[in-house]
Amino acid sequence: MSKQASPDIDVVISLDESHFSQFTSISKQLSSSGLKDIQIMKSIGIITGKCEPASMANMQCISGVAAIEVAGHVQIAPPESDIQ
Amino acid sequence: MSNEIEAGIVPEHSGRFIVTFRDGCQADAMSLLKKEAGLTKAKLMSSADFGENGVAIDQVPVEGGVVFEHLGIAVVSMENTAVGLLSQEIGDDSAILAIEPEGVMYALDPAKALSLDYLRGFRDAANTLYEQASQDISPEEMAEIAAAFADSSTLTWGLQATRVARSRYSGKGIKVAVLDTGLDFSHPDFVGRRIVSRSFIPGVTSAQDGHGHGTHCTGTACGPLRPSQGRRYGVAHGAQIFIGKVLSDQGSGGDIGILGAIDWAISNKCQVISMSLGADVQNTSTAYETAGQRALNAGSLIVAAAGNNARRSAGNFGFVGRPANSRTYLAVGALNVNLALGNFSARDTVRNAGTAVDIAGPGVAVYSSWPMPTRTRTIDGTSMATPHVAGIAALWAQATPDRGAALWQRLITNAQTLSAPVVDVGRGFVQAP
Repeated sequence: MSKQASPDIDVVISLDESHFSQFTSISKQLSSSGLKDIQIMKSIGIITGKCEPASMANMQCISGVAAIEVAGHVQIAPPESDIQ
Repeated sequence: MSNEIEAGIVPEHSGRFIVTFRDGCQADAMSLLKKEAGLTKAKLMSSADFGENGVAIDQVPVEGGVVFEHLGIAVVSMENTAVGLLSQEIGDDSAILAIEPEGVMYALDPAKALSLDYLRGFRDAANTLYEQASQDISPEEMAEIAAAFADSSTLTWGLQATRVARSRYSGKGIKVAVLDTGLDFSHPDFVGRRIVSRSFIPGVTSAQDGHGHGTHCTGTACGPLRPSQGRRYGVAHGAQIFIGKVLSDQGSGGDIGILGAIDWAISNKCQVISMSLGADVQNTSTAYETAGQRALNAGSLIVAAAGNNARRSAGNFGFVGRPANSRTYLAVGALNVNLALGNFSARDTVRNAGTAVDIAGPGVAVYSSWPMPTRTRTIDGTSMATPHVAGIAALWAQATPDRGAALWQRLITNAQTLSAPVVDVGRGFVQAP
């Protein structure tokens, strides 16, 4: 509801291998730091969600977070292109 | 004393041959050796007889040989007629994979003069094998020898060139995930096929393909052995198909959906994940790198398109995009019918370790399925080379117990070497078992 803040961005958080068993507690901490729409990907050790860009720095400091990156996107050629 | 072998010296009266058994077929292979070459168990020693010290060659019977139990290989003395008979048994279903003259390296060693008799025996044996092979040569094989390929009425050029057309494997028992724009589920070439699907596009519930790219890629990786019309274009026709729709009908998708689909494919124990997608971004991503490594650890190999951002004819070699530029993704370049690089196929930038092109596949003039009513279409791209490699990975996964990094290794060690630079084609041209 913070209308004055920057719009939320999609982020991808990679967990440290040694913290795989702590998915639940780490996602709770991420949530407290402002992460929304949390998705947990247990097979690959990744948590995704949305947050304000300013809160990324705090999330990086949570124990067990190896990296936090802004989600990118891919685009393939239109159907009529001869090179796909 | 003519019956004794001196260590390391090949007997001159008859050649010794290295016989390689198919995995798990040693008993059948031994029966063949007995039947065709008279090599009874009494004439063969086992490497196990020698214990931890290994085989002492001077104790091996001259009229027989030795079986290396851990290697699935025997080294035996045989008459040329027996070699000829056994060579006829070699085939796709044979317990014996190969018979080769022992000690080929000696011929290159000027320090050891070989007798004319030995060389004559060697030549005769080789001629017997050559004649046997050339009698059975098919039109497809003749085309391979010419090294320029074309679609035939029954097979695409890619299936011929990668030896898929001659493979006894179908990918049966292997799960292949294609993460793309989805699949046209109404396509007649996939009707009746067991397919698991899921959309990772927000607000889209079905994995139905409204673009075409995903249907083309799925067709190459897993299309049928006998399409209802036209030539065969699919590699792993017996594999179970998992369709993850990660690209919208407009051809775009986010990292979150793609990573979610990788996670889904791994949790479904897909041994092969085909990703004909990427962004023209030079930097690598920790998330993709992490996901790729965990996929390999879990026994899932991710195959990814190197990218189409080169314009080689204009001197622009492009770069490998994301996520293929991660170390843990098998990055695929595209070749044409002459096994030369596609004009668009991206080159390894060599700026960072692991950004390499790892292998190459057929990626120019690739015929495959397209959403109805178009049915089939011929297009170019590293996206088309990728599912060739993914499908062939499924064949290797069926043929061997190799998974993850071991499957990667299997693919690259069996690739056909090309004269093109490593930065363009990696270890070479993918080949089916």
